[in-house]
Amino acid sequence: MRQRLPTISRPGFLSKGERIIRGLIRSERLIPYWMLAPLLVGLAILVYSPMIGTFALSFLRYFWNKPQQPIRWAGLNNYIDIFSESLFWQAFGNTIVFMIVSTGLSVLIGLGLAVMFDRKFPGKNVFMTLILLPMMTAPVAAALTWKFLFDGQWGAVNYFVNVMGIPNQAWLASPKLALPAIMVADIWLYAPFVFLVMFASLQALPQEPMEAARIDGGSRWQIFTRITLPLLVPNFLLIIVIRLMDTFRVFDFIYIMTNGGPGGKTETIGFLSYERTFRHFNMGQGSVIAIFILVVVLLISWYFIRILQKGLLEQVR
Amino acid sequence: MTKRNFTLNSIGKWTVFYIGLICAVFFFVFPIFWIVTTSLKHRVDVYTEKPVLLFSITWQNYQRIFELHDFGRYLLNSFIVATSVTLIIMYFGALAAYALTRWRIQGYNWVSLAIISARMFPPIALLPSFFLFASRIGIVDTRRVLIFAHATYGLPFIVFMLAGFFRQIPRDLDDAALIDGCSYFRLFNWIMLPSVAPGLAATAILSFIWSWNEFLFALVLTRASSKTLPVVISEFIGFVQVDWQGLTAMATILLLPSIIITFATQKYLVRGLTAGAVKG
Repeated sequence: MRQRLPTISRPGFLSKGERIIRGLIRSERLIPYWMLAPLLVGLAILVYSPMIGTFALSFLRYFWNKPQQPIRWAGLNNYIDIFSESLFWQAFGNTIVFMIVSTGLSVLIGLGLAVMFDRKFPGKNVFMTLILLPMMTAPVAAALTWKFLFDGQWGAVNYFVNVMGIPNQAWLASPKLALPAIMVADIWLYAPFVFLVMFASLQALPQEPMEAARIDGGSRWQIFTRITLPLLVPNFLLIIVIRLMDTFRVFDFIYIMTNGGPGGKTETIGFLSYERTFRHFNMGQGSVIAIFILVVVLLISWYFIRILQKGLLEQVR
Repeated sequence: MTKRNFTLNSIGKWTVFYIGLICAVFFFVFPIFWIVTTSLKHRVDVYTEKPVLLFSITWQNYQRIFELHDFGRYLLNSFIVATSVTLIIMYFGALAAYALTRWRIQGYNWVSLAIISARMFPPIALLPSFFLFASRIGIVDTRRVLIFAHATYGLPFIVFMLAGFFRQIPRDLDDAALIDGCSYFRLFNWIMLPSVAPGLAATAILSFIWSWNEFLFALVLTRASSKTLPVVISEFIGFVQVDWQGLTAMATILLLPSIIITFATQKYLVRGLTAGAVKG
């Protein structure tokens, strides 16, 4: 019988470098690192280096449409300019309002629907599928849909409003109504996801505490507010953090529906950052806003990151 | 005890319940219904005072966007990008999840933190310098750079999800294969990947939809020849007179995969999320 000789038996034919590389490839201890390498290298190129890069850019005076102009050190000037600009604070205010209202309403609607579906009734699956329909919709398609529905001339929303006796409105061109209209679109897109998560958490709750309370004579409302809701708090927090993060950096809806108008009434800081960087070509100022968004999002998401990390840790053990 | 008596009171309650339900369904379904039907309408039925529900169907709008606006080419772009992203995420996501669940890794805390927190960095904060980097090395407006960005940004979440699937596979399976002389490469490709097939299916759906829907990366990183559908649609809005017929046709095409997937997976969507929880 022919036997294969072990291939490592002739180290003399390899240069030192080759030997080290071969050793690295063969070594069993390094296997997991090779497996993680593509992901970590990708993240380094796409996420971590650009992060540092954007931070550095925020200290420069750099217009990338004018390559002949020298890049100058600006120190904190970009920060001073941005933080003393009223449009920035207006955008920040809009973003906060958008964030709180959108998150609040989508969580309430999601929870309400989850409670409604937490029982048996005919047609349950069909209704559920229909409600989940917007969940995977592209934000651009959702924004476009609502832009059309809210159109001042041909929009269907005006028709429904007329039925209720209110005259036609130019929703997205109105300083008062534009932001709420965008909120409606945002809630439409994301409430189904909240609903799905809340429904799943409701189903997963242990039934014993509720049963015990029912036997002790608690009313439905009491049971719901005193037992069910407190049990749902961890899920609540998680979904609220996800929603806060997403709404704080809202971009697609603004870009498609209003472009920040009318008169900056729907300007958000995500959109402002894009405008500065890619429409005014002002890398420095755009980066300052980008860094600001990053810091806020990381502050909001810190809790979320810790939970996810814990989950991943548990999976190893 | 809990037997339901159909008294007047309970009929009233159920009526209220169904009215609420139908309102909710109307709110969530009508916009999609409206977009899809509008894309099939003649001009006279779109620009009207009252919404038209009964109309004769036309495919003109679709014909027009494909013939006049070269829509097929961008559709192909979107499809190529989303498919490549899906394949890359599936393979490398599984690879990373496998490594994270099977080995004790030096600096585990830092690696997992680096992976998980990557998803929290808003794209708008990465794009200024990533865009400069990409344009410096001349890959802006190629499908490659968009595929890279979508795949990398989408990976962390998938790694997290797949780790859950790998955890359920007993380690004995690895050991048996290794003792039989299987290499790690073959072990992973031929034994591990097939055994997390349900996880990979979920990954495929989520990755495809993520890349297909994504707007901001695509908007910044593609200019002309490699544009994807969301970017094309956003540009089309900017025309002087908003062409709602063409736009609704484009939006319908953009919506199609997500609607198909929602209907096809509706059982698993709910059951998948709840089943795991019920067992726990």
